[in-house]
Amino acid sequence: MEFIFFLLVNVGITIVFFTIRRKRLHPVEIFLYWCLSSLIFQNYSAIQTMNIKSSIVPDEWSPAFAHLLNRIMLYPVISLLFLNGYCAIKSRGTKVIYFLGWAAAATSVEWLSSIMGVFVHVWLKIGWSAAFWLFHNGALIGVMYMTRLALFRRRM
Amino acid sequence: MNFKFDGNEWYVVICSILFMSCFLMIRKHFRPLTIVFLLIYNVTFIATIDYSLAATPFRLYECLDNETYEIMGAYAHVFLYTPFAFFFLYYYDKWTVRGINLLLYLAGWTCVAIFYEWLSLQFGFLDYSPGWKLYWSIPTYPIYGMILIAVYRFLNRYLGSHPFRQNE
Repeated sequence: MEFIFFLLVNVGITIVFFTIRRKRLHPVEIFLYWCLSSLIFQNYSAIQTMNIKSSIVPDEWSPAFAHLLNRIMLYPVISLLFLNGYCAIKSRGTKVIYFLGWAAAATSVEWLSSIMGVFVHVWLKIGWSAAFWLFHNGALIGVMYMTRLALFRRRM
Repeated sequence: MNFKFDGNEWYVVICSILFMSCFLMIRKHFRPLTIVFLLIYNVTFIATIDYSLAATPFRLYECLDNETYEIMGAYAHVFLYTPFAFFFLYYYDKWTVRGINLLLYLAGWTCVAIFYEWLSLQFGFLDYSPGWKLYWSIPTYPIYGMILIAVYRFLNRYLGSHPFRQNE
C-alpha cells in the first residue's frame, strides 16, 4: 500500500520535472544535484535509523522499498524542481521566500512519509527536519553556484 | 554505537592510503571537473548500495564493527572504493577497451574486485553472517562497470574528454 502510493508520487513528480519545457539546469547539473541530494538525504536517514534511532523504517517490504524509492528518486527530484525554479527568480527577497517555502514543502513530504509509516519519526522534532531541509537546500544552492562558476564561468 | 579503532579500521586506512597514492599518479588523465563529478557519483552509488543491502530494506551484511553507520564506513566510500572507479576508467581509456575486449575487461575487473572483497572479509571490514554470499557479488561488478562507463561517457560528452598523453 505505502509502496504503491509512493511509487505513483515518484513517477508523477519525475514526469512533472522532465516535462518542464524550459529547464534552467544543464544535463550534467541535473546529474550532479540528483546524486548530491540523494547522498545527503541517505546520510541523514542512515544516521537517524542506524545510530541515534530517532526514526525507523519498518521491517516490511512495502515501507522499506517505498523509502528506498523516495531516497533515490523523490527527494532528489523535489530538489531539482526547487533549483530549477530558484534559477528563474531574479529578486533576492523572492528567492528567500522561495527558499523557505521549499524547505517547508520538503519537510511536509518527509512528515507525510512518517505519518504513512515509511520513514517513521520516533522522537525527531519537526524543527529538526526543517533545519535539515534548510541545510540541504542551502548546500545545493552553494554547490550550484560553484558548479556554474566552473562550468560556464558565470554566476546564477 | 560501540566504535573502536582496531584491525579492520587500520585495514581501511592502509588500503585507502595505498589506493589514493596510486590515484594521484593517474589523476591528470581526468579533468578536475570530471574527477569531482565521478567522485560524487561513486560515493552516492556506493552509499545507496551499502545502505540498501547492509541496512534497510535487505539487511544482508554488516560493515566494520557493528550494525551502526560508522564514520569509517563513510571514509571508505570516499577513499577506498572511489579510486577503484578511476583505475577502471583509466585502463578503459588507455587500452581503448571496446567490443569483445570489454567483456574480458569486465571479467578481469570482476576477478580483482572479488579478490579484494574476499580480503575485506578476512580483515573483518565486511561481515556476511547476516546472509550475503561472496558469489552473489559476481554479477554486481560487471553491472557496476557498465553503468560507470555510461556515466563516464555521458560526462565526457558534456565536459569534454581528456586526450591520452604518451607519458601517462
